[in-house]
Order: sequence, then structure tokens, then C-alpha cells
Amino acid sequence: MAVSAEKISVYSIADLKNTSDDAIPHYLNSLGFKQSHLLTDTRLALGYSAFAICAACFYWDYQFGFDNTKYYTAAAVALYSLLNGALTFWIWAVEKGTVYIGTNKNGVKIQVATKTEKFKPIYNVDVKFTEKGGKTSELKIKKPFTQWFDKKGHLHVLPFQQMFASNVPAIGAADPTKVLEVKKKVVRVEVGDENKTMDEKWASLLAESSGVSLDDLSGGKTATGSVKGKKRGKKA
Amino acid sequence: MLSALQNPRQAAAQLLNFGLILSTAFMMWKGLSVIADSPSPIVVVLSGSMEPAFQRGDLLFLWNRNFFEETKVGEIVVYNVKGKDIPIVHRLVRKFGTGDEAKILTKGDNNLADDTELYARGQDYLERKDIIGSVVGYIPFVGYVTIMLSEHPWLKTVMLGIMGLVVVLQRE
Repeated sequence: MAVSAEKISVYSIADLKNTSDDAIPHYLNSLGFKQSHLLTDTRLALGYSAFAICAACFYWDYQFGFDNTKYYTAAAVALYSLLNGALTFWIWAVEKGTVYIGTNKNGVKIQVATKTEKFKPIYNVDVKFTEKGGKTSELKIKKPFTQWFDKKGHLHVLPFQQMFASNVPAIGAADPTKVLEVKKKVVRVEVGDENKTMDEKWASLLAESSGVSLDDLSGGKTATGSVKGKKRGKKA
Repeated sequence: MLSALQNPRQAAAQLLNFGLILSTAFMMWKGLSVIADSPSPIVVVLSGSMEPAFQRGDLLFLWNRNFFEETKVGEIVVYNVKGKDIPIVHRLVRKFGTGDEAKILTKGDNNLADDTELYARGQDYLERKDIIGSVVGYIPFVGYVTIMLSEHPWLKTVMLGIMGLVVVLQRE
């Protein structure tokens, strides 16, 4: 399965989030969802009209001087702050980190919002469904970025899409081949820390500090592990 | 992050971020202009002619409205001379008449003579409309950056270039 050609710094949460955000529309559009750009287009319209007012103000100020145009300038300042306020409100209260809105053939509307916290490499995904009848449901996913980014900072598309398909039923139904079965957990008796590898220790530390279950982290490790395995197979 | 530019909406959004930073700065400046009724509500002292009150590089805040009282003798004012672009910060030392018709004479504290030499040819005094504001507050020295920039113009190009590049390339 595809691995992104783009390489990011795995230590930059913003890079991790933006690259993951960009991968969501690609995946959902490929599943037959029709993307709606209404939120983005409104934001761009608000922003660019504010900018246009500023440009006009700059022009008449430059051309006719301050004293001849000060009432127009006052009006422009008021209008600009109004538009900018509306833009801020739009981003903060309406968009709320939404990266994707789409509708599929059955009329199911899906809205995906993501967010990260500072210095925590955990991807918080908030998926909202609105069915044809208007019934809404919402579910939250919280996964570490290590599940779909490798050490070098390439995004691995397969585990990323599997994450969505296995956790979101509507996506799973559209793309059943990518649903991972939930493995039965075998209760292990922990002998002690001596048996753990360094990676496992790091994983449990991360799990402790971020509130993500250890299974998610180990799941990520097997995914990257299999990639490594493939490479080794090729060499042999 | 250059690959992000392949998506036109994302490119437009990133360009908008840059545009909004510039336009917000400009509109804040214009808002201040409108409130203070002055074409340039903040100026930087360029000469030492008002020492020891102001040094080169001090940042001055101007107010150009006469709500309660007229501009008085003793106030430090900033004025523009016809045909010259550089605003001058000097003290008002003589005033004859009131309102818009008042004849005003200014002088730098550190200068020996008054400003009649500095005025345009044939101009012996200032009028109220020549004044762009009275000094109401100042911050020492912080304006020195702009003196550096105007004395070494290539610094401006370099700074603008770096700022633009940073904003376009980062999405944070």
C-alpha cells in the first residue's frame, strides 16, 4: 500500500496533524463521499472581502490623501473589523477544526473534525453523522500518530485508512476490506520491566501521559513492524 | 510544505493568512489615524533638534483633535511643511489669533533659531492645518529600527522577503 512521498518531521505536531488532515479527504472521496467545500469557501469569502476592503482603503488613501478620505477610511475600518470578527467567529464557533464534510449516495452526511493538544502526539478525531431522516450520531477516536507515521516521517496510507474503517461503522461498511477485527486480548502476567523492550517502555509511558490505551500503541507497532518485515523479505 | 500548494483552496487559504496579517496591521494603523484624526498618529524622531526632551529614535504618539482646548504655546507639535515629506517635531513658541486662522511659530529646543528657515519659501508661519498632531506620549528608542531601515534600504527588502516566505511556508 502507498506510502507518502512527502516526509515530515515527526517531532512537529502541526506537521503530523496537517499531513493526516490532508489524507482524510483523499480517502473519503475515494469511498464515494461527495465533499462539500461550504465551510472553506465561506471562510475564504469572508477573508478575501476583508482584504479587498483593506486594499481599496490603501488605494484611496494613497491616491487622495488622508484628510480628503477620512470618513471613508473610518467606514472601511469599521467594516474591516466587522468582517474580521465574523471570520474569527466562523473559524472558532462554526468550523471548530472541521477538515471534511461529505455526503454519500445513501444520503449519509459525514463531518470530520480533528484536533491535537500541544506536545501530545495524539490525533483526536471527532466524526459526526447525519442520516437522511436527520438522525445524528457522533463518535470520537483518539489514536497516537505512531500508528500511521514511520520513524522517517512518511505517512502510511493503509494503517491510516484501517484506523478509520475499523472505528467508524459507516466507513467500514463502505470499505469492508480495511476493517481490522478486534483481537481478543490475552491476559498476560507481567513478570517485570526486565522483559520489556525499550520501545514497550516508551509506549507505556506515552499511554500513561496521554490517556490512550496500550493496545492502540502496540497495534501501531505491529503495523510498522510488518512494513519492516516486507523490506527484509525483499532483500533476502 | 510546498506540495500543499497543489490544492487551490489550501493555497488560497495560506495566501489569505499572509494577506490578513498585512491588512490587519494596516487597518489598525488606519483605525488609530481615524481616532486621533491624524494622517500619521505615530512618528519616529529623526533629528536631535528637540534634545534633551526627545532623542533620535524615540517613538511619539500624536493627538490631533481640539475637543476641549486649543493647541497651546508650549505644546510639542509635529507638522508638515508644504513640499517636504518629512514631518518635523518642534515646540510651539508663538501663537497669534485663535482657531483655524491662528498664526503659529515653532522652534526646536536644541536649535538656536526658530523655524522660519525650515518653512517653505515665502511661508513665515504655520497654520493649524499644517500640524498633524500634538505629542501626548512617547517610548524611548524603539523607533531606532525604522531609522536603520530608512538609512539602509536593502534591509527592508531582506526583512519583507523573509517575513513573506515564513508565513507562506508554515501552516501553524
